[in-house]
Amino acid sequence: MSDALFDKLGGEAAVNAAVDIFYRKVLSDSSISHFFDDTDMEAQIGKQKSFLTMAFGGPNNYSGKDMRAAHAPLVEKGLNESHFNAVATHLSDTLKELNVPQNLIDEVMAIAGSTHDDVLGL
Amino acid sequence: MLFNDNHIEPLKDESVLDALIRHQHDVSYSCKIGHCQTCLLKCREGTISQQAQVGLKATDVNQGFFLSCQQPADSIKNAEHIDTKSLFVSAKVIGKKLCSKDVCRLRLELPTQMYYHAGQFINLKNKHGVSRSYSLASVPQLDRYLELHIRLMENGEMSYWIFDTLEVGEYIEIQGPIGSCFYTEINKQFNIVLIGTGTGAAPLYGIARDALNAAHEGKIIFYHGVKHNSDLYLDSELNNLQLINKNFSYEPCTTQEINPKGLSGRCNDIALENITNVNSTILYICGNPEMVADTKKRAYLKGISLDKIFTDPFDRKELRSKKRE
Ligand code: HEM
Repeated sequence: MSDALFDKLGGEAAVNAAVDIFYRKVLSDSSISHFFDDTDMEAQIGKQKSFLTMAFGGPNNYSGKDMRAAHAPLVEKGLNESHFNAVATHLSDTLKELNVPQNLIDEVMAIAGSTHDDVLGL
Repeated sequence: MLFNDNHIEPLKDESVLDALIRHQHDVSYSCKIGHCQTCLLKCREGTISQQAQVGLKATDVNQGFFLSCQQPADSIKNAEHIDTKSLFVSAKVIGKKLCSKDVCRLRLELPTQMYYHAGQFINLKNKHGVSRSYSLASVPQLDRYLELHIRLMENGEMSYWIFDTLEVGEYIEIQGPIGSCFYTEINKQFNIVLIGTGTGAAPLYGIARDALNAAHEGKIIFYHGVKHNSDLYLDSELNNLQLINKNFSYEPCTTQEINPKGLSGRCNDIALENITNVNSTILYICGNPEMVADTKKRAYLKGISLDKIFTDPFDRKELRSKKRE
């Protein structure tokens, strides 16, 4: 099922097309950019690719526990609902910019939404 | 963890280097950001993480060398010093010239040829064991010597020693070359924008001459940012390059004083503003780490892709010891 979504979106090429658009949006958004303001931008791009691959229903090895662990330090720094919504909006805007059909965008947003509790440590 | 057979108790999330410093082991290090390779150690037993071997030569990886500043201590069971004789070679000082009140040009000669790219850096180590990174301003195809530009830093152990003590004819230990901030011929038609503050101009000067020597076809624009006119220590060299190369231009930028022949303001602001075609621009940024990180991020947000942005941040240790102005 998910693999089918990943393929419909265009697989790894879609991730590569989306990552710069998405990361630029995130970095330009002062309400969340401080979470991503790493001096090592290359490493951050790698993590954004992991994020997109996962949201696109692609092959990844992340469990809910991993998502909790990856975001726990951010939750300590105050990561909350509003930040989550901001990231979700940038994600859907990125897909719109790439002319992804709405029904596929909905599927992506559903996957992203399913990580909500783990990301926010709830 | 064992280090040279001594017991070390690392704290949670501590790097091998920090654990060793905390236990007062005599370890050398400099940048602490996984760049300079001064803190290399050898792993006898344990799991080396990927980021602790970024930029290392294959031969170093095979021997289990790792960057101790990037390695979490909890996955290393046993580590040891590297025999530094295998990393360093002796170079003879063949030239030392003061270029401005606080920058000196050092030229070194090696017994055998070193394969490097202009813009990479080497580590210098003096008799007292102090080690610092400096970028290469020379071009192997054009120069018989290695050229470094040394900025005198207040309380900078290495730079003071070079200014006051080191003499022509003496020898100094060097390690390298290291780093990936250099010219490649992949995009010959692209415009190259070079942004350097202070002695960040050193690697850029090498990169510019390397590109010109390779008959680069796009424009090459060199923004040198300093405070005062008298800090433009490469003025005559860069004016000269501009005179003999149609596609090279030199833009001196001063922040504290008007320059009748240059621009006023921060060189990174001016350079970023003047970039028009983000899809055919390659950027090289060298200087203090904050300026480099800030400029890189802004260039990326402007639309330049990260694989077209090359950076070389200065050695933090020499910077840290500088008094606040
Ligand atoms: C919308 C649901 C989200 C998903 C599916 C998701 C997914 C991921 C993934 C897969 C990683 C890589 C983990 C790793 O390999 O170490 C990651 C890292 C990261 N995420 Fe998220 N994320 C989400 C929401 C957020 C939000 C709302 C923020 C902050 C505003 C955020 C900030 C980060 C940061 C800063 C990292 C890098 C952490 C580091 O440097 O180690 N994420 N995320």
